[in-house]
Amino acid sequence: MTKKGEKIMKRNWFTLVSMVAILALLLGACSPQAAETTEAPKEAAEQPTEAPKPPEIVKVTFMAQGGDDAQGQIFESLTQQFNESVGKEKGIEVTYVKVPADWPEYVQKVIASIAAGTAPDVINLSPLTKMDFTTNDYLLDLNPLMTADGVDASLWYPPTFDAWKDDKGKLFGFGHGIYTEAVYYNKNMFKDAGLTAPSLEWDNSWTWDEFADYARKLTKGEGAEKQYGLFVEPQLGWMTPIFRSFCGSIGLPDATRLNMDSEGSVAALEFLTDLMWKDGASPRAEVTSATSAYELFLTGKLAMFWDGSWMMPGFANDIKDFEWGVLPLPKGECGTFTGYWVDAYAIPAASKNPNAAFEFLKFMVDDAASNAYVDQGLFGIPGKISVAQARAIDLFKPLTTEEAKVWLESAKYGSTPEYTLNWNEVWDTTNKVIQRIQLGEVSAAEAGKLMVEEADRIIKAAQP
Amino acid sequence: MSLPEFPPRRNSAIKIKKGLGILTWELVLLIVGILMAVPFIWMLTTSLKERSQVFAFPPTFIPDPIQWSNYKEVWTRDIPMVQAYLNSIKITLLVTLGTLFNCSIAGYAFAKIKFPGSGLLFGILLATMMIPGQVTLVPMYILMARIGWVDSHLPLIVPPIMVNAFGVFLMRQFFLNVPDELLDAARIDGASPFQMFAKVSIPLVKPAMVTLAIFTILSSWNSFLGPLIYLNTPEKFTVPLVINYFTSVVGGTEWSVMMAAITTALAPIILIYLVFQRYFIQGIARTGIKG
Repeated sequence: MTKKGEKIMKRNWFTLVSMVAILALLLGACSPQAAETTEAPKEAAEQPTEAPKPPEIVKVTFMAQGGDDAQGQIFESLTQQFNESVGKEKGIEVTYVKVPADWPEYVQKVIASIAAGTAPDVINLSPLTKMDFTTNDYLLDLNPLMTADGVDASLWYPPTFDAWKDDKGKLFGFGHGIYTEAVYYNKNMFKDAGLTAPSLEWDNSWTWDEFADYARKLTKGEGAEKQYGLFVEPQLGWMTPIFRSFCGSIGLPDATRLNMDSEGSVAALEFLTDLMWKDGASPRAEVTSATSAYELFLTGKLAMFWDGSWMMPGFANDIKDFEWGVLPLPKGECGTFTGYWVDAYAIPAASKNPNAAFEFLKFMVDDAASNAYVDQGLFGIPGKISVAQARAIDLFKPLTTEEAKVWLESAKYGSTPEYTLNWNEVWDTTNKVIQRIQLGEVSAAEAGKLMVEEADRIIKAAQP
Repeated sequence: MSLPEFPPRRNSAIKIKKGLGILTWELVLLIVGILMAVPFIWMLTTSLKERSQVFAFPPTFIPDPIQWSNYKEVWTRDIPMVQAYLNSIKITLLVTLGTLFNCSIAGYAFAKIKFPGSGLLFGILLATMMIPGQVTLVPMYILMARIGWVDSHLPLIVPPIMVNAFGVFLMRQFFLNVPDELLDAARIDGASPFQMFAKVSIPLVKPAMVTLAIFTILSSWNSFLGPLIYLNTPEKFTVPLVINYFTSVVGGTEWSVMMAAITTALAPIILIYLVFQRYFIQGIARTGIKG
């Protein structure tokens, strides 16, 4: 090799070695902090033995969704409040692990950490995720902790617990607020169509036929200019109230079978199919995939939006151009129903500090936290009865007192969707069947049967 | 003998026909281009709108007034945006450098070095591309938790460098095009195997290196689920996670500020693409791989 060649070679090797060194340095900078603290015990051992032993602090991790939104901020400030009050007194320090993601990704993160043995001590769960956790025994039964602590359950609304119990009475979550369903409506569009709003009383609610009549009258136009009368999320959970109202249900109470082939459930599905997709009163999936129902409602293209009270903060912020309000859901043969959506705090069975975790959980469902939720317009009706009663006037701003009552009174008409085993997969399958109804491939009766058959297969696979 | 002359009228007819063909194609491409650009332009204009204008009907493309403060908010709010940017740059840089080094060496080995089981090994490597990321997510998390890497950037850097079947495949395809005669000539001149790789082959696969670099930068910069699963401390979050701070599961997402944040996050990617566009197109044209 020539001298020049050798020089070039040396330079290349130098470049390569430098790059590897830089990589190693940068990777070193990424090392977990645990490595930095390994020296600590040695130093501690050299300390004089007579030094007073610091009080033992139990560390608790609280994992929940949140970003810079109201939920993230409230969880952050409540964690801080706990650490400065109860935590200080009882030697507990809580760290809030903020997860800026939607439910499916959040659930993946929680399940991965449980599987890896690094489970958080307290988690926030939505009822839709309940079966993901209870089927696999991921959650601690809270009953023994409640009894040992002497918690008086009568101070909270029953759905706070009912929604998180299994058929054997085990309690897997402590609800912090009750979201219910009702019908948001655009008052301007009602006025333009010459319609007067029906009664705001759940006892004296409108009928499903009247509801359908309103939806048809509020539907007009074609193509991009079309105005829709009604939207409800085409998923079983959202439709619980109509199944109950038509004397049917989504599933059986023991979570082992869907009940979508029952007479009432089929009739309800048929009613919605005719109204929403055959008569075109509701935007189809191809419309809502381009412009969400939320956006359609905000832009005055949707008159009635049947959804949960979790939409309130968004609507309160975003609706500027028209008057809006809420109406109770219609009554049917078996009565008037709304759906209960109770988000809850739970303790993973793998938590290393269940007692300290329960202390934090109690704080998060008690007076101070419940008042903070009301201040931020979060979680619907507070689970703690005294707070809900004292703050009734502050709940559901900017609605009028009468309209706010629609939400408050709805708590008496609730029904928790019956989730089956392996609910995530069942849910996914039933959603696909509903899409087939929309496309006109199957009738409501055929869809009901299909849902049950598919769900049976999935539930059987999930049974131990 | 003189060459036959084509009648001028026919010649111009061909020209017009050809011109019309090109015009039609250009029109089609223009329409497709506009369709592709609309969401991007919408994002840009929304990032400059007032909150109340985002859902205004009929929709307006040009914001009035122009709300520059949305961009200011992205950087001045009490969220770790600056830190997230630095974290994303660090992770992307390391993953890209590591991937280029690892994949080019492995691709060269599979293409140019004969060793027993090479075909089988390559087949196994390719098979890993068929396994969806979701399947390996929990086992990977358990592994990372066991070695104490959770809540650090290491799980976002080391596994993507070590296991990148697509990158190895891409580089192998390019190295296959390097003529063996060239390497033989280098060997006769006394080049070592590493010199043959670094001095002879690498300069010939530059477009592939740039293509792989761009793909890696894109996937690493935009990665959401990995950082979400592995990171717990906000100071260690990457840009896609912090962008999600502006969304809300309980309603009230600030769309205009969020669009400003997304535009800010996309800026470096677009810049990189514009600078290396020539190589990127070459890479795609030669392999037919679009990522």
